[in-house]
Amino acid sequence: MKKVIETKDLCKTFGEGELAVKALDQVNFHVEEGEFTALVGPSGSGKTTLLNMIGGLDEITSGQVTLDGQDISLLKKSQMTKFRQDHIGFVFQAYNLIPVLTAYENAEFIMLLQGIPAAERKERVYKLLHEVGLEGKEKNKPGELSGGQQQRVAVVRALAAKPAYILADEPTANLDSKSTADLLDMMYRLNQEENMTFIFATHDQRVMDRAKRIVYLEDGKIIKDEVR
Amino acid sequence: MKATFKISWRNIWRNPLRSFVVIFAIALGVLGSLFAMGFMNGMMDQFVNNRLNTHIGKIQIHSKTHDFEPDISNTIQNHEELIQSLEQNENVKAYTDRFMVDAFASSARGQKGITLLGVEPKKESDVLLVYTKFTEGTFLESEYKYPVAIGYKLADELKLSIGSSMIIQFVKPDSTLMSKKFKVCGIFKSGDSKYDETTVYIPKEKAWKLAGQDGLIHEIVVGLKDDQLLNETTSEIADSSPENLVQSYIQRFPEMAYSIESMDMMMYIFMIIIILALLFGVINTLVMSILERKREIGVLLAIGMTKSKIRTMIAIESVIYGIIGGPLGMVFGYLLISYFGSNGMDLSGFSQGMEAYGMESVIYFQLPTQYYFIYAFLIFIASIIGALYPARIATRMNPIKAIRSV
Repeated sequence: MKKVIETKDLCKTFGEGELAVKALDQVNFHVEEGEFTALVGPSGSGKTTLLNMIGGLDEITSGQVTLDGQDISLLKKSQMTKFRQDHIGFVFQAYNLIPVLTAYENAEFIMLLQGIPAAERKERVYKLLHEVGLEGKEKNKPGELSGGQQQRVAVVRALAAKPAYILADEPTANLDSKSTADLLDMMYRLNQEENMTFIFATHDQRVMDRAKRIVYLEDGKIIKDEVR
Repeated sequence: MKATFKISWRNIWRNPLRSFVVIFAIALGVLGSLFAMGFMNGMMDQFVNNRLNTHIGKIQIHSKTHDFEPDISNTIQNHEELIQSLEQNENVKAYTDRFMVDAFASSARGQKGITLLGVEPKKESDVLLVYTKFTEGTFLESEYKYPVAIGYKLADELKLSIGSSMIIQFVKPDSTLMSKKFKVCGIFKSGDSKYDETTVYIPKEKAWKLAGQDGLIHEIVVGLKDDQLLNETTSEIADSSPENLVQSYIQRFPEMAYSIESMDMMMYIFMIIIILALLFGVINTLVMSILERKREIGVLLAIGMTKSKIRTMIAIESVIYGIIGGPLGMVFGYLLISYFGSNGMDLSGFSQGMEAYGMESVIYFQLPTQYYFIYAFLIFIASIIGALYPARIATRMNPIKAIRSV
């Protein structure tokens, strides 16, 4: 299987001197295409930091991160931004949709940045919104949608740009049980049917129950890597 | 670009009240400054035109030494040849050749040093508009044998009215003193109180008769068909009459040209001050708006919106404020200037002070079209500049920290 993420001796330190905190310590880790992986661990274990590093959102202190075949330390900031646009999908804890855009516009936004033709954008967005059960909600703005619906729009936004993998940081933290179950069902189905790669940073047992692989972190180190 | 414009446009209207306040402030600033510029320009234009049209004319001709020695004998050289060349010049509309001496006016109530002009009213009226400025009586059209037309300030000072007697004295070419009683036939108010206080008109043939010598011409004032050809026509006349001093009004009264230039400069400074004030208003609004949507900008950066697109987004927001507020202020400014350009603004309450500076009490606003275009351009540039600092704040955000911010 194709490796979409690979880290070698990855270290991340915040602060300097006596105040320095090692958030990641010699992390060697890889994710293959089609995985449904959860990064778990107590607060401060480094799971979100790892997620940020493999999302190209934060600078590496030492080591190497290769994303979709690209060593990201070789990319300039502007190239990294474009790389994120084309290769990585993000789903955030607080949905983080653009409030002035409708569900449809939020979903097509990254494709607009990518310069994808209107007809293709329309087809892809309608298809995905239909798949996640949001048909008829295209013109609603985020404020007019429930938390679960907003998170599904966020997933569609991430998926529509056809990324190599999707990073989801505590995607269910703000959702009720029903919305969580629906969202996870949807993601799991996309993983099964479309072979889409998902990596979660989570505390949520319900996410862990669905994950095919669980990577346990503690004090910035991987202490257990369990494939189910 | 479409995505960037769409998000910018929606951002503007996410807080309509704030956007309306900014747009209103821009429009009001532009309107206010255009109003002030129209007023200042109209006032200056009236000041200059009033002086030019009432008594200065476009070109003046004197003897080369007249300014240093304004003696009655110091007349224009080869006067008849000069007149001939003026009549042949295609751009000369009309001219008036004047007898002009320093003289002394007195009445039973007072005395005053004056400039005595001996003129032909018809010729004078073909070049200048003083005949339109008479508040009482006529411009030397009278049954009086020795009529005199005076300004209202002199009339006040010497307590003269229509029909009053006034003694005029001047030194004749033979160095004897001439003294003659004239009767006031007209009182004018030119809008230039200094002129109204010191200038007296009498018929030219009477002046010659009293001087005891015909053909004494000290000053010729020329009116032009095309004012754009002022310099060329001045040179042509000067070439045809090298023995005399031929000067355009700009050469003879450089302070007038300086006043016009100063006004231009003042208006540009005024525009820049207003633009700077608007600029800070726009910067303040954009910074507030960006700090409010810090998290959103973090998300945009994270999902792949490049810094240049973020900058463009903020610049578009800034330009939208400018291109709505600016033209709005310009349209209302134009309407206001047009209204006061036609109807004038009556400042009679300040007339005394204004007339002391040669200005009329009703100001007709005027602003050349070029200022609107310059203003529009400056607003556009200011909008772009106004976006720089807010854009810098936005693009320097760390996406992770921004997304986590409340």
